[in-house]
Amino acid sequence: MKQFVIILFGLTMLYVGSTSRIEAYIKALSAQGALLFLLVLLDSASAHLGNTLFLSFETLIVKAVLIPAFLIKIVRKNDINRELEPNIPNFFSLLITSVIFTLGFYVTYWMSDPSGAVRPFYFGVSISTLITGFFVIITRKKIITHVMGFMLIENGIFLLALAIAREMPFIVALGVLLDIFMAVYLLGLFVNKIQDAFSEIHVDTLAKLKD
Amino acid sequence: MAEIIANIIFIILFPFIFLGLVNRVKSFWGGRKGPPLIQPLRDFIRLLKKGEVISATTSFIFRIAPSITFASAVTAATLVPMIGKKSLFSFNADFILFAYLLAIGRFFTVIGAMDTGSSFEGMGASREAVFSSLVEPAFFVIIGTLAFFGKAASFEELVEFSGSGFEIRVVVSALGVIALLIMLITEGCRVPVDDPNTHLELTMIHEVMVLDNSGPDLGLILYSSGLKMVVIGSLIADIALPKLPAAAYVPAFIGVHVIIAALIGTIESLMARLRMSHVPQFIFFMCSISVIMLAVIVLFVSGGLK
Repeated sequence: MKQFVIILFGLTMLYVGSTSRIEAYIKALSAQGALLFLLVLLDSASAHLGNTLFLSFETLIVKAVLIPAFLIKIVRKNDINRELEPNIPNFFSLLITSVIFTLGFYVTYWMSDPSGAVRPFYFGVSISTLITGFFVIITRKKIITHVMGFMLIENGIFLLALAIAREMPFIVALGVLLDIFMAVYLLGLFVNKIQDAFSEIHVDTLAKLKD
Repeated sequence: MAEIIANIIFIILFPFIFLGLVNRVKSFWGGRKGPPLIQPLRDFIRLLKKGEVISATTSFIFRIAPSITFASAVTAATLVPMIGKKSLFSFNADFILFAYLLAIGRFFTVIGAMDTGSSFEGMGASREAVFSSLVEPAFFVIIGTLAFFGKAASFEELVEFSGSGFEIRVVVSALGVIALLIMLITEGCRVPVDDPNTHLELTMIHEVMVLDNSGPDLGLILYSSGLKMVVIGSLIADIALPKLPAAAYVPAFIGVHVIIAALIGTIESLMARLRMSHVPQFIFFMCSISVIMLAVIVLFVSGGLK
């Protein structure tokens, strides 16, 4: 069951690699939140009740509902064009995402230890998610997609914590949550304000800001 | 013996029922009652009774193409285990023959379409060739991975293997099922790759290649397209179903087909066709999944995954 959830998580990353709609990104983020919630639930037998409750709140409420709703609000409010306009064609994007996944599993194989302290399947998918998140940030032109790339990376870190520590330390979870809130909030604010100066929010247009 | 007869009846009749099911699901979403389940069979018989119009510019290739497509689809169907976990013919490495039988059918559809001399049909033929060139390697990787993992040399042994209860097998099977669903949609020419209802030449792939066929030939083409979907659906059922007693296997097998038909009908009712430039991307999803499957299996076999 856990393996199946992990596979679904990996498929959402492939979807992110291939889609060209901003709303599809937001849906994928929301789905990832829900999948992480499932993983936390499936692991809950070995963890403290308080920790499980907090992680459930973080994944289900914050990641699956609040942040996607906030992102959709920003997109609607600022009339951001629905197409992503990536720097490279979607087809190659999907190709590179699958290469990243293969490499992620290779790295897992390379560093896998016989003691079984690290869960290899979680680890492979989380490494691939991290790198795909960076890849999304590099190749997408819109500023709003950078926030989503950060969210993908954060989901990858969450999965990595599940892979290595079996459960995320409470204080780390709190710190990450705060970080994400600040990132999303600040970038949301940033996008809202910069809308007054430029009609279309591209990374390219930011180059005009310098002297 | 009973299995053989059941398989033959399944191959002959079920494609029509499958198409009928898809139509019923579509009419459910459209708020209509829908045609009876055997309507495709009635259409097929009606087409067989009709005469044929053959363009004067065509050669003998156009005339034999539908029959060869039909024959290759039926031969491919005999290789796949259907009801009762047995296929009509089974030998080592039969999946290679299976893939190339489908390829022969496709090849003759393509050159039959080129033979008409119509520019529209040439366009459809070129699209079909491009898309199938993406499907075929992915199919080989998927089946090869499963066969390697399960130490199976033929489809039948693959079914035996998929009855075994590894945890990792569930992961691999899930990936395989998703990839094969994409293959089914592509081979069966359904939305979002192709729209079987429109007859707008500029947006079609498969439908445009059979515009000149009529009468019995058109009937054969309809049947073989339904049969291809049922065959790939049977592959999905073979991979997905766990070990079940014989009495439960047959209903489960049919149930998988009903689920697939419902899925296709639902997708067709709720989604629009993809833009033509996005179709290769959709099909390439299958390649990505197959590569990930291979990576997982290599990881498992070499001992990295427990």
